[in-house]
Amino acid sequence: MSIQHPPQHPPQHPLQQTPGPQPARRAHLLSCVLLCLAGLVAAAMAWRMGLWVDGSPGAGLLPFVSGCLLAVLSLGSLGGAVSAPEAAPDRVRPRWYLAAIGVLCALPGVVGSTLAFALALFLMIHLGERRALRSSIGWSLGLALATVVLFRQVLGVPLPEPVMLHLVGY
Amino acid sequence: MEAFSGILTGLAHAAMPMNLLFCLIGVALGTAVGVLPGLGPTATISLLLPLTFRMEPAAAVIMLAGIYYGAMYGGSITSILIRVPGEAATVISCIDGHEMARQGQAGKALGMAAFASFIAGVLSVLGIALLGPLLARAAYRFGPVEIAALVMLGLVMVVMISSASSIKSLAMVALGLLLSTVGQDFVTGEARFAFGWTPLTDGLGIAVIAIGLFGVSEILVMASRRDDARDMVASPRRLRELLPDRADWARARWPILRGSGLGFFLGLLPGAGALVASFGSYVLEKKLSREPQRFGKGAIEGLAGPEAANNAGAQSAFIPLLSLGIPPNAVMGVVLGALMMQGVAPGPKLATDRPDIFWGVIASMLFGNLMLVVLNVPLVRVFVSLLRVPASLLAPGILLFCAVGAYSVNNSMADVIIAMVCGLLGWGLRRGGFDPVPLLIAFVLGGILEKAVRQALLIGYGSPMVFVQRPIALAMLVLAVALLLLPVLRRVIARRFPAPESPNPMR
Repeated sequence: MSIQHPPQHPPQHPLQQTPGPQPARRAHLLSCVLLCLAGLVAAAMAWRMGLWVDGSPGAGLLPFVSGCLLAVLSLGSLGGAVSAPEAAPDRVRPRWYLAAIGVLCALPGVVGSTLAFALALFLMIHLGERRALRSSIGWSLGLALATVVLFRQVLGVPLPEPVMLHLVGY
Repeated sequence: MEAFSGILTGLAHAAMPMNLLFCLIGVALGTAVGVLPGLGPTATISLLLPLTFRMEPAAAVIMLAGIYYGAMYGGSITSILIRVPGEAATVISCIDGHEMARQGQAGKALGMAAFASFIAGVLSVLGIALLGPLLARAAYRFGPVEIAALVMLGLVMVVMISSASSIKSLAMVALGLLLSTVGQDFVTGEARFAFGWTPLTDGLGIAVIAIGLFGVSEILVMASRRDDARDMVASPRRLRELLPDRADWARARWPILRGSGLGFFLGLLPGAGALVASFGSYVLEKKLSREPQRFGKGAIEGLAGPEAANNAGAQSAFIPLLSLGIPPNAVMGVVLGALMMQGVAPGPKLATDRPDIFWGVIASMLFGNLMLVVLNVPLVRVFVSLLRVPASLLAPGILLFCAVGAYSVNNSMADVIIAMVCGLLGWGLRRGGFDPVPLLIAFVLGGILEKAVRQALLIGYGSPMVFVQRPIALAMLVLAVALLLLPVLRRVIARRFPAPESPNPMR
C-alpha cells in the first residue's frame, strides 16, 4: 500500500496570505497602496509649507502629521482581513452610472440643465438598468423636469443655462 | 422658583397664535430643508433673515429655532432611508438607522428618531430652564485648549464607532484630517492642496463631502449589486409595524435618557459639542450594551441614543447664545445676527430685560418638538413608501438629486465635480474595506482641531505642556489615550492571564 503525501505548495508571500476572496483582496491592497502614496505626497507637500514658523505651528503642521499617519496606517492595514463581498458584482451597470456622472459634471453648462439631467437619467435607466426604451425616455424626461421645477422655480436655485444663451447675450 | 415662573411666562408667550404659527413654519421648513441634500439650516436661516426684520423678535427667533431642530430631524430621514446624512450630526443615524431600513424596519427607525428627538427636546427644555444660565457660565471657561482636547477625544471615539478595524478607522481619521486642510490656511492665507484650482482655495464644504462620500458612493455600491440583491426588503403593511413596539421601547428608553443628558451638556460647548454628543452617545451605548455585536446591524439603541443626543445638543446650543451672547456654532451665529438686527443684545440681562424672548424661545421648543412628532409620525408611512420605488428608478433619481443638491450649496459646478470625486473615493474605500464614517467626522472636526491647537499653542507660547497644565484638557486627553489603548490592554491581559477552562461536565 503506497502512502500518499499531501501536495507541496510553494511558500506564499505574506501579502498573499491575507484571507479573503481574490477580487476583494486586490481592491483592499490597491486601496492601501494608493492611500499610502497619497499620504506620502501630502506629507512632502506639507513639509515645504513649513511645520513651525516663528515659534508657532505653520500651515504645514496638521497636513504633515495627517499625511504621515495616513501613510503609516495604510501600510499597517495591508495585512488585515478582507470581508467577502455579498455576491459577484455587476460590472456593466456601474459603467453607465459613471458615464452619467461624467454627463452631470460636464454638460449642464453646455446644453442646459434639463437636457443634461435627462441624458444622464437615460444612460442610467435604459442602458444601466436595462428598462424598456419608451418607459426610460418617459421617466428620464419626467424626473429631469420635476427636478428642474423643484430647484429652479420652487427653491430659486439658478441652475446652469446652455452656453449658447450666454453667447447670444441672454 | 425663578425658573418655574420664567417657564410659565415663556409658555404664555410661546402659546400666542402668531408665535405658534411661526414655530410651525420653522419646524416644517426645517424638516424639508434637512431632507434636501445640500441645503442646511445655516443657509436657510441666512436666506430668511430679511423676512425677520418685519417680525417681532421673539417670533423671529422662535421660527429660526424651529428651522434648526427641524433640520436635525429632516437630516435623520435621509440618513435612515438613503444613507445620505442631511447634517453632520446625523451621520451616526446612517449606521444603524439605515441598516434597520434595509431590514424592512424603516418605519420603526423613523418613528423612534421622531420620539427620541421629542423626549430629548422636552428634557432639554427642562434642563435649560433649571440649569441654563449656570451652565453657560461654566461653558464660558472652555477655551481653545479644552476644545482641542475635546476634539481629540472625539476623534478617538470616532474610531470606536466604526465597523472596520481600528487601524483602518484611524487611517480614515487621518484622511479626513488631511482633507480638512484643503483650502486657505486661516493664519497665513497660503493655499494648501489647491493645485491652482480656485474652487479648492475656499476649502471643501461638509455638505458636498457628505453628499459624495455617502450619497453618490451608496448609489455606486447599489449599482454594483446583482439584481436580486438590490431592492430593499418590502416595507411593512400595517400601521402597527410602522412604529416602535414595546420591545423597541424597552431597548431604547435608557439610551434616550443617557443621550439626552450627554447631548444637553455637550451641546453647550462651543465648536463641535453637538456632533461629539451624537457619536459619544453611540460609543457609550455600544460599551454599555450586553449585545454590542448588534451595533452596526440595525440595533435600535444605536439610533435612539444619538438622535436624542443630537436634538438635545441642538437645543442646549441656545443657552450660551441667549445667556452670554456667544454663539457656539455657525447656526447660532446667524441667529445672533438676526437678534442684533432687531436691536436685541443677548447676554446675562436678556432673561430679565426681555423675558418674552428668553423664556419664549425656550418654551417654544416644547411646542416645536410636539409639532415635529405630530407632523412627521403620520408621514412615516409616506417616507417608507418611497422605499417601494424600484431601485432601477430610485438610484438614478437619488444620484441626480445628489448632483443638484451639491450644486445648490454655492451655485457652482465645481461642487458637483467635488461631490462626484468624493463619491468615487467613497466607493473605492468601501470596496477596499474602509468605512467612510470616520473620514467624514474627522473632516468636520479637523478644521476645529487645527484652529484650537494653534490657538492653544499660542496661549502656551509654543509649548505643548499647555494641554497638561489645564485640568479639564488633561482629563480629556487621559481618557482619549485610555480609550485608544483599551483594546490593546485587553489583549495583553487576556494573553497573560488566560481564562481558566471550564470543567468538563462528563468527568
